[in-house]
Order: sequence, then C-alpha cells, then structure tokens
Amino acid sequence: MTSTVPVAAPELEEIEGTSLWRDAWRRLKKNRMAVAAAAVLGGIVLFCVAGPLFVPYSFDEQNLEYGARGPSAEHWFGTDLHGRDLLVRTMYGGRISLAVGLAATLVSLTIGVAYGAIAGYFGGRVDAIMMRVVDVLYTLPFMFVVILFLVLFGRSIVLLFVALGAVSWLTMARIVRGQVLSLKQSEFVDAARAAGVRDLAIVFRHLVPNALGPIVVYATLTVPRVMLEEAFLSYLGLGVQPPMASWGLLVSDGANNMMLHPHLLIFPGLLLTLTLFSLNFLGDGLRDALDPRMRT
Amino acid sequence: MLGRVMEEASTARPLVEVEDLRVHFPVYRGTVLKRKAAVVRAVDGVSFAIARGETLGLVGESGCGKSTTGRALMRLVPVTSGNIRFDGEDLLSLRGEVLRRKRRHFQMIFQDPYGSLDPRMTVFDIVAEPLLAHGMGGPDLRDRVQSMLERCGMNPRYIRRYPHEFSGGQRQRVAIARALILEPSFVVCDEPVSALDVSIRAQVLNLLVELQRDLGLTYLFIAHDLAAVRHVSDRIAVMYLGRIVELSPAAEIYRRPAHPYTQALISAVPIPDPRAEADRQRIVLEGDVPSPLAPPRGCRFHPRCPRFASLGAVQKARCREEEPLLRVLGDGRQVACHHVD
Repeated sequence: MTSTVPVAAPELEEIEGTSLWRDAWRRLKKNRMAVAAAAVLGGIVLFCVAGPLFVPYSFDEQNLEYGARGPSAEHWFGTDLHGRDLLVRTMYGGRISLAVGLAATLVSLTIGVAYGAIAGYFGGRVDAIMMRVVDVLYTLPFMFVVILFLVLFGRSIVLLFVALGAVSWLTMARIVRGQVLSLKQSEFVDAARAAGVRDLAIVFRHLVPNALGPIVVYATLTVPRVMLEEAFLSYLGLGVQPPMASWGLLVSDGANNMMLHPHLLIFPGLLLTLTLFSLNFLGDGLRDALDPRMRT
Repeated sequence: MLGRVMEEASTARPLVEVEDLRVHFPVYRGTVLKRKAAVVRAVDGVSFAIARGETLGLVGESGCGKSTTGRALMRLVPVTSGNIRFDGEDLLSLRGEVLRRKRRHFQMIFQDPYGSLDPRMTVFDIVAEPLLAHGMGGPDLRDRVQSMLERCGMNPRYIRRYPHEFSGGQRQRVAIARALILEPSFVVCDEPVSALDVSIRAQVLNLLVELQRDLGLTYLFIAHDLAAVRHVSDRIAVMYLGRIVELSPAAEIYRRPAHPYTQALISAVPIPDPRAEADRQRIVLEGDVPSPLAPPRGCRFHPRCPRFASLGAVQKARCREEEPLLRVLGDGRQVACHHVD
C-alpha cells in the first residue's frame, strides 16, 4: 500500500449509522412497552398542566354542602371532605408532584453524576474526601436538614425543592462512582489517556456514557421516591399545605378516609401508580435503547 | 532490513532509551489503616534501546512484566525508578499538559480490540478523538480519518458504525488507525494479534510491517511467544520475572539461544517438518514462575534452571547469591547468565 491510496470518493456514501441519540430513539420506538409508557406519561403531564383550563372549578373552591360525594356528571372524580372538586385538585397535585420529581432528578443527574464520576476517576485521596462528604450528608437526618432550612429561610415550596434536591444526588453519586471505578480499568480508557485525551473529557465522553444504563434506571427510580418523600413532608406539615395539593397529600388524605369515601384514595392513587409504572417501563426501555450493543 | 537498521543504530542516537527501569506496585493490607504489606516487582531493572525504524520484540511468560514495561513507556503506569529517554528527552520528568502534548509522538496498540474501543463511540469518533484532543481537527478531519482507515485496510464507508458491528481483526485495524492517526514515531504493540483468530493474525502482522515501512515507525513489539515476533522483529529481548535475560538479534536468538531460559522457549516452538519435529529435543521447565512479590535471590531463574543441576557447588553458590547482569557476547548478543561463554 502506498501513497496512491484514494481518498474516499464522494459518491461512496457512508453506510448509514447515526448518532447515539438518533440511534437510541430508533431503538426506543421499537420497544412497545416503552412507547406506551411514554404516551401515558405525556397524557398525564398534559392532563395536569392543561386540564384545569377545562374544569369550571378552582382547586380551593369549597362547597361544604357538597362534601365527599362520589363521582358524578358535575364532579368526575367526586369531591373531597370540604366539597372541593377532586378532579381539579388531582391536576394541581400532579403539577407539584411532577415538578418535584423532575427537579430532584435533574439535580441528581447533574450534581450526582458529575460528582460520582470525578470521585471515581481520580480515585485515591480525592475520592476518599469526596465520598466522605457524601457519607456525612447521608448521616444527617433528612428531617433535621429540612427543619433547619425552614427555620433559616422560612417556609416555602422552593425550600421543598431545595431540600429534596439536596439529598437526591447522594445515592446517584455512589452508583456512578462504583460504575466508574470498574470502567476506568477498561483498555479504552488507557487508550484515551495514551492518545492524550484530557481527564475531564475521558470522564464525560467515555466513562459517563458507558455508565448510562444504571444512571437512567436510577433516575427513573428517583422520581417516585422523591414524590413519596414529598408526601411525607407534606403530611408532617413541612411541604405543600392545603388548600394546595400534591398527589402525596391527596393519597394520604384518601388513605385516612378510604373506608367511607374510597374515591378519595382511588383517583389520585391511580394517577400516582400509573405515573410510577410508566416511569419504570420508560426507564427500562431507555436503558436498552441507549446501549448500542443491544442493536438488533 | 536488519543491516540498514544496525548501520543507523551505530551512527544515530536511539529513539528510545530505557535505563534500569523499575515499576513496583505496592500491595496494601487493611481496610481502615492501610499499610504497605508487600511490593510486586513487575519490572525490576530493565535496560534497552531501540533505534529509529527498528522493531524490538519483547517476549516472556504472562506476568513477567513485558506489558508493564510497554505501559511504563507510554507513561500509563507510575514508574518507581529508572530512566526513559525518548528522542533524547527525559520522558519521566514530563508532567501534566507538557506530557499530554508529547503523547502524540508515542502511541500504543492494545492487546484486546474488544476492550480498547469505547463501545459507545462510532469508528469515526474513535479514530478522530486523538486528533481532536491535540487540537488537530480542521475541515478535512473526515477525509483524514477515512484515508487512515483505508490505509489500515478498513472500508472507509463504515465510519458511522460501532465497534461491536465488526470482527476482531477489523476492530484491531480500527485500533491501529487510532494509534497511527497522530503520526507517532514510536508505537508499542502490546500483543496486537494474540486476541485474534489464527487465520487473520498474519494479515494484521503484515499490515503492521507494511505501515512501519511506509511511515518509518519504530516498534516495541510485545508477545508471549517467540513465534509471533520472529518475523517482525530485528532484535528480541526475553524477559523473565521483571528482568531481561537475553537480548539478541532475532536470527541469532533462534540459531543459538544463549540463556537457558531462551533455550527452553525455543525448544517449545514446534518445527513445521514432521521428521525434524520428531527429533526435537524439548527442555521442559520444572515448577512455576516464582511470585514477583518475592523473586529468588541471586539469579531469578536458578530454581528452574535446567543447567543449574549440572553445576559445581561453587558455581551454584554464585547463581544463588549474585544477580547476573546483561553482558555482551559478541554478534550483538547480550545475555544475563553467569555460565554462558
């Protein structure tokens, strides 16, 4: 072979392969469960965001004569003990719950992934110090932190986001660190180092993408966990307060009255469960779709 | 080829000079209070030089430190002591950004083409990455990647494919393209064909030889058996337990191996002639390789040496006490044994 090697002629079009994301999208579309889950999730988001526009009640409008009725033509989901329309309260509750879930997941994806990946890659003392910080934050009682925040900054919904975000990235950091610890032994990492690729580029271009499977799965598990934590906080009076609503709050209300008024539990509970199921299926589908080796 | 190389070697300075290289890995014990429990002497005093355009073969059993030597030359493992000079420059004094910039002059081809290519990157991304890392991108990046792939025997239309879509041989071609795209002058080939099917080994070896000739490369060619390096190497170094026991021109090492360990290795290579094969005298070594945690005193090979048994008491004592150094025998042969003339 000599220097007469022809440079690829333009008519030799590249065999179509695609970017990781376009490829992943194509594979995701083939996964029926994941597509169905995504559709359900989309429907739920639309229901919560746009729904209240089409319901002639507001979330805090009481009608005490009309308390705790079952579903009817006027109130599709029935009314709660104070005679508020449950349909519109479920929509508003969904907004809060979805927002909390989304925010906490974004925090855990950005801080948790970067933190864990850097600790795992650099190892040694850097790793030891960074992970001890995580351990310390783990040991702080969650409630204690939230109450401290409340005392310092006063009560607000923003605080709820901050508090949940602050704890949601810890486990993600540990998971990513563990993945990176094993991935950094790979020869492709040595190859990148030998080629002169910078450390941070190795972390974010080689290690994080290869840890994407566990990251996506854990992220989809974070959403339901955070929703339940929000419910717990609200129940204690530290989160969302009536007349505002969240799914967690509605479900715990409903659970208190399930013997007499089962619809109070069934409707918000159904939506919460549907959301969590969809997230799990979508997470599974994403994990498979993001792995180029799964290509069929 | 050999003659030209030897000629150049005598006049010009070697491209790579290694002096008393040692790579020791500490072994820690205890979970909370870590203490150094032992030291694995993976590479323990290795010296050699490689001339420009030359191929030095490096052979030895698994665990003898040959891969670690290659990785140390690439600055991928921390070096305990010794000296590495690349093109006259002290490689071990380089740090951080200076070292990173320097890396484009020496590259490595790894053993396992299944592990050395990032499964989430396309062939294009893999081969282009070194160029981008050194700010050598530019508008003709795609053309350069494609022509390098073509040069390595890959269809350049496959640049959007992922590694798992290729066979082992094709992947190794991608790995070779990645190593050579920076136009390095020195390449460490760490058992580049041992993970491949026997049927395609020769193809890849021929490709490496061809590229060396065309691009004027200098190779350190690591392998665990002599047969693989015989045809590509100008000189061959045999390692045992972290040290070089013999370093001779490739033809000489076959014709008259000097060190008892080399003799045993050569005797294990089958001869492709049934009659000669039937008469082949095999030297079978007793026992296992001692642990590099605690290499034997004196000559590291003496507990397994077939010649040791026939020596007199005084000579035996010397083997047990005094570590033999590489000494020149003439004809360019170097051997580390007290009892070879």
